[in-house]
Amino acid sequence: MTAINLAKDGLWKNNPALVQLLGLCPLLATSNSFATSLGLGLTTLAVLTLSNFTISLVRGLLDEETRLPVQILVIATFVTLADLSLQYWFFDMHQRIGLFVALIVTNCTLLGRAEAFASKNPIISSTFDGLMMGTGFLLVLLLMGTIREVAGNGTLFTNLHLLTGTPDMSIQLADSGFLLLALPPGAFLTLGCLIACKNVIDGALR
Amino acid sequence: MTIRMTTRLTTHMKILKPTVLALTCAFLLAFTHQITQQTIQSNQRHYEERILREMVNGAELEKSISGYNVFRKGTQVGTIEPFMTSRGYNGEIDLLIALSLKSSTQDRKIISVRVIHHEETPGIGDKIEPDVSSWIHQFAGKSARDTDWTLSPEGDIDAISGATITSRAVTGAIAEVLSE
Repeated sequence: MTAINLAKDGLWKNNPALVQLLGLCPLLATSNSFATSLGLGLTTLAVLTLSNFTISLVRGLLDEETRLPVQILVIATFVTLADLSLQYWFFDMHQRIGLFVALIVTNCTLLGRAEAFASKNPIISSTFDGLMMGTGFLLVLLLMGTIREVAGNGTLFTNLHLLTGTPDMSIQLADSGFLLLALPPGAFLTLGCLIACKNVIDGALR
Repeated sequence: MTIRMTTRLTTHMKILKPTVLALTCAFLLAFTHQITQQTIQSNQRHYEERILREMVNGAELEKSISGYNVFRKGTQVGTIEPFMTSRGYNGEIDLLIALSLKSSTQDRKIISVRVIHHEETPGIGDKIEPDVSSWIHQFAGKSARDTDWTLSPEGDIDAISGATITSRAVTGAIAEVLSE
């Protein structure tokens, strides 16, 4: 697999959120604002890249019977490390997305990539695959966060300063928004529209 | 004989390898926990202290049995009481309520109220958070006797539109603490 193919796969053709439909729980739950999307997206990206790297590193050591538990163990370890790091550096952000950070363990994108790719491929391409899949997930999460925050609440970048450490950067675009989009059903509607858009684009390209 | 021994050896190896990996992971986590623990605890404390200090405008605080005692220039001026209500729209609402002390001339008055934790509807019921709306600030200065603790138009408390149940729960909780 060449780097370009891996990138295409993760970002578009086999995007974890839009095509594989994996990791929907955190995707739907944290995409109600740009800042929480960025926080959870970056955490997932880091955990996915590191777990792919580690699983590829130890792939020669693993037997058929113990492979899956070990993969989950590696993923759970990195998630816990990420959780501690967030509490260490971004405590306020952790107050908002902490619940979903722990849920990254159950994000099937991670186990999926570990089992389907990292346990069969060399370290460099596995790490790159994790990076690309994670970026694909992050981009969809950011797009959903932007759409839902702008359309649902009429604001953008609320609470972003909790991540960046700069002064408050929130922009008030409207007094209120179409509230449905900020609520849980709005997450499903937004994701559905994004998947439809992707399919339309794919159809037009073909 | 040799075959059986080899199988047993492979089985042992199959158990040993994940065990070593698990121990490595456990060590890594324990080590990280050790070095981050103190900062995380102090972050947690700062976070809580910041909320408490905002509530009483920087007055001194001292832990009491149920909550905090508030001091200004050495004399106690009030208390902060934690309170939980499950009358909201979804889940429990945790509140911190700062009250002035009762004196011969004055009833207990609300200094300020903060919602610490809630699971109300985002975009509607979350207007009880001071970051989202200024709704919660209307309680400052009110006491049990000078205020009709029901929602307007009958009472004196403005409700959040679309979140009557949430508004009623918070208002009721504050009134209950005041009457204690």
